[in-house]
Amino acid sequence: MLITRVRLLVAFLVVTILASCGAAPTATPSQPAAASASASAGPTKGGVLRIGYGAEVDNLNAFTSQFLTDIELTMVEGLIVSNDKNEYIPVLAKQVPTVANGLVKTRPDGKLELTWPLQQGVMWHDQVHEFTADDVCFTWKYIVSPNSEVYNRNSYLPISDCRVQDKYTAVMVWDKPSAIYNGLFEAVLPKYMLEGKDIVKYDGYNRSPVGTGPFIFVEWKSGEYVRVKRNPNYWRGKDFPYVDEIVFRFIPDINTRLNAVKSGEVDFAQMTPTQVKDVKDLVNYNLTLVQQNSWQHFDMSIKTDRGAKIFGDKTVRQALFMLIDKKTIVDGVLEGTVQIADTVAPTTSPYYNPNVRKYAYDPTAAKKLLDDAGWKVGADGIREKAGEKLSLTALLSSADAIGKLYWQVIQQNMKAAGVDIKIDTKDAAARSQVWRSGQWELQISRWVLPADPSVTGLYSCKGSNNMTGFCDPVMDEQMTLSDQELDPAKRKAFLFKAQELLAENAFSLPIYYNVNPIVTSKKLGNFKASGTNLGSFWNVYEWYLSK
Amino acid sequence: MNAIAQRRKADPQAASGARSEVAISQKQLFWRQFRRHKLALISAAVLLVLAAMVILAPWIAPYPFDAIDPTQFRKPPSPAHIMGTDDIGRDLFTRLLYGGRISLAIGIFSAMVGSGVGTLMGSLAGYYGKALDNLIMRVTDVAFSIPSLPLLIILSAYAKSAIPVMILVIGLLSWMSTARIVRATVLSIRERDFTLAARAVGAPDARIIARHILPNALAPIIVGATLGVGGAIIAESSLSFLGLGVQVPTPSWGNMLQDSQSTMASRPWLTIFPGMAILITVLGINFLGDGLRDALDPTIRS
Amino acid sequence: MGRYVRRRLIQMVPLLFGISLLIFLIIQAAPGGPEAIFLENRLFIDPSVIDAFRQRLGLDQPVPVQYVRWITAVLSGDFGISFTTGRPVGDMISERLPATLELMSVSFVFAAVVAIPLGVYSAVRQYSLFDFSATTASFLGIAMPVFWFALILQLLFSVQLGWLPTSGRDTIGDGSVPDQLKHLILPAFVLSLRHIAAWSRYMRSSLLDVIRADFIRTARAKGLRERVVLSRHAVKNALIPVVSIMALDLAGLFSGAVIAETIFAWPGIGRLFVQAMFSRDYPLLMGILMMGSFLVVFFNLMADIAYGWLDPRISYK
Repeated sequence: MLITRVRLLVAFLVVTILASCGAAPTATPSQPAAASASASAGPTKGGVLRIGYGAEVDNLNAFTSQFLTDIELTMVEGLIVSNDKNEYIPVLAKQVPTVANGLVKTRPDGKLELTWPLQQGVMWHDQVHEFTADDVCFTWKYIVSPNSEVYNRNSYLPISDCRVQDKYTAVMVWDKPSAIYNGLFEAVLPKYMLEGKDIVKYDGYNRSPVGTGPFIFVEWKSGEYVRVKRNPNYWRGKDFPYVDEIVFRFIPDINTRLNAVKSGEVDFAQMTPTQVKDVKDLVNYNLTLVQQNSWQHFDMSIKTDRGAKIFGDKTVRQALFMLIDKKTIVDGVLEGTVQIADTVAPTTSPYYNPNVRKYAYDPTAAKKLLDDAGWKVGADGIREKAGEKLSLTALLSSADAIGKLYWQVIQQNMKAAGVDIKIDTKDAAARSQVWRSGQWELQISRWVLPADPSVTGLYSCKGSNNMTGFCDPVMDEQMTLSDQELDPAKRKAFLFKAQELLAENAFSLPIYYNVNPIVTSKKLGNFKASGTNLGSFWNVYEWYLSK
Repeated sequence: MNAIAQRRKADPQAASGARSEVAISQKQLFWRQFRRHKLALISAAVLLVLAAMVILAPWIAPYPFDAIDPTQFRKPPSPAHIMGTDDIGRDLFTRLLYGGRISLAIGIFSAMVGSGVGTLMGSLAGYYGKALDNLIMRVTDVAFSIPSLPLLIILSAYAKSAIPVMILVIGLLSWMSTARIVRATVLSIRERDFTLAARAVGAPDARIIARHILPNALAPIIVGATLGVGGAIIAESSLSFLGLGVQVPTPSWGNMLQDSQSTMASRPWLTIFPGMAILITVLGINFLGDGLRDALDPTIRS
Repeated sequence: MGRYVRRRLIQMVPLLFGISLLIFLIIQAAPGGPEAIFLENRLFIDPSVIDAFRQRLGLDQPVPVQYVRWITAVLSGDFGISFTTGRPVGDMISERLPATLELMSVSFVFAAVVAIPLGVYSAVRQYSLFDFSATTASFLGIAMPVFWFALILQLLFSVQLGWLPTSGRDTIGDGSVPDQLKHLILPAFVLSLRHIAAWSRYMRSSLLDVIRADFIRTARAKGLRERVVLSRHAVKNALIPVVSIMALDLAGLFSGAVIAETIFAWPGIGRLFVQAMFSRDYPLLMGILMMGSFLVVFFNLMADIAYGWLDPRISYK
């Protein structure tokens, strides 16, 4: 217990230092809707946690899986993880390197040297091999190799070298300063097991991962569930984890999941916002509305000729923005379970700029703007200009139940202003392909950010995920500078300006921040939901089930 | 009118009182038999009313079908909205009427495609036998193997509206069962005496098939066709479950049902009404088909 | 008959080849590819990762080349590796087969046991109250959208009454037979309904046809008891079209039923197929579809042989 307390104290100190040094800041997500009955009792040991998970995952490799890594996080740990306060906290690293603690040094040649001191005495699940700096550098080597298929590989490319300084210290060299250095390596791979193997194809790991985490893989019954059991030699201490076993049951249908909760078959389940009404008053369950680092955004594409002609005009863009009734969407369609968004950073981030230009729903002003831009209402009620009708096609995924609802609301509102919207529904794979190609006119989808709100990849002119084609070199410069700035105050200035420009340019309209409703049994304690892309299992080692 | 009925008309005195000696026309035979099937009668009436309501939708619907009322999201039934409102404030009764047009159209046309193609293929295969039969049956095998889902996804990607695509796909995927049944029946009828007799007399094939064989095979064809309409309406709802049915903003009973599933417990009216609409319609269609089958089959007349 | 069977078996080969090519082309023509899941979930994906992914799966090759690669591998027994999980397709299908067969055959048998007698009694007591009630009950089975009815049953029996589990094949930690049976009840029942409806109606209509036929009148005239007339002459002949339907549905035993499997989280082939389609997992799709078409062709052959046995007037020249 003492060791744990010391570690927690160290973590707390690190967090405080981080807060002043450029890591993502403190945040307070929504608290559970009802008080947990087990808050007063101490952590009881034992029990099986039954989780009603969604669709089945493809593999259990945190780097190559196309799905989110909740299950992996129970077994596999990395240098850091993001917590419920949008902070990066060290896990297998003893501290996160910062300028203040001297572990981040700028070399004479301009490159950055990061020293990662590692936890000692951590064993891999086989209980034979120890976790060392070799594993860290092995992981780096694999990620940056050309065909690693790691989803965020290009974030690791600036790391040009990884050195094993000694058994418990890894040193990484960054070619240029980067503010997001502390958000990588959320998982580490075991060198003893994977050296020399083609990791992408190696089922021995991908189907049954080996890690240092609080739980050990037991079985994966295809189509049914994944089971993990308690690691008796977990490095944080013999007491952890409290829970004996976790079962992730794959229940793809959201209605069945709801019924499983209501009948008491699961202790933990993820719901959708429209089901909140059904679960918030359940006697044996708490509902946590997890505020996510994610927002729905309304986009236009100028990659098509027609799109460039119509959306190239800023007045038209702003008019369209003003025809989107955010309030009705948030309060009506989503029944108030989400918050309106006016900018890309979440409200809990210190980089959240509350003073960007806002586009309130104002049909009168919008109509005037469109008239001024030369789009006059024609005989059939649709605006036209130089023979072109303002008839736009919206891309929608057939799997997007909420999207279907708000698009119909938007369609109505725009129709009243003379803008004709045709909704083109495609299945998810077809929609993704069209979206990626830029050959579409309108769409609304979401982005999910890690704890750090860097959006350069989305909005910069050469951004790898810029599907719209919009480009503003001034905004680019601000974003690039912010990515390389380690001083949080200066970084804040750049990000504030970038957000201002984004809103002023009317490239993309944030509509609302997404929310992840999670239902947990009142017996589950120490559950602290996190809205980052790494999910809510970051502290699964300290969860407990009271009797 | 056949010869016997004509004679009866010409000489009514001779006809009265001697019922057992005088035949009645096909049409009267049909009605007499049909009336015995009470469920079919009731269904016919119900379906007529339903069809009328649905056809007259633009005139009897209290609201325009896409009128979104932001103050009325998800309201239970009330005097203003007799069936309540949906997720975005539209009157459910209105949507049900308009949705009925789509669902019924899909049902009827798919069944027509399926029955038509199936009857043609089945009778050709059953009557001619040998190589043609073999060929058609292998085509049936191929058709059974064609995956409907990918086909639907592809065709929807290139078609403007999902509805004709659905009719085509559902129809073309249901002809095989009709073909097999028709073929089996034709095979057995082919060897019966009256067929052999017609052939001996030198009647042309098409005439034999149309006048002699098909009327006797009418029973399974009709059963197949009516199950087909019902099946097509259900298929439309199943496709909606998978996200491939009629797309927004067009309402159909299937997509209305699917969209309301997640709130079944807290907003039951959203699922009950479309569900009951489908239930009553398909049930009615099946009863009707049953009654028709009984009434049309020449060998059943008692 | 022997020559006929041999001829049909030989015909199966080019038939299956043709089907495989057709299916391959149809699948590939669907817009979008297996990288779509990346874009739906991970979102911030590096385009070079997508390219490496596609290249590893051979998707950068032209379609004919991909087909040739696939068919040559299949001929040596290798159905390829799934795009989504990286596991051999054969393994993925065979591990889902037991669950699928279990569910489908239970529902099949239950349906047959209920449907045939239902149809026979309905025909014999035409227009009676029994006929109308049986008709209504069996039609209810096909008049309701499966997912609607399944969810209502789930709400009733699992949530309200708590008698049955909502989903899955067994309760974790308890794999006993009673537990497995409890999990089977709802999905098997839901799946049997459509069969009961179709088969009992066909049985009824077919038997009604046969009962009025001349040879039955002859049998009655001979003085045979009604029951003998029915069972020896009428029912056997009436079974012909019903057998054809049942045989076709037999092939469906292996395809599963996607809606019931999704709602009851049953690890069956139907759900696997739809998942594979939405994630454009071509090798897995081809594997499942080819298995399906092989079975269809095979069962059609079995059905035709059964005709020959049941109806002596049908001869295969």
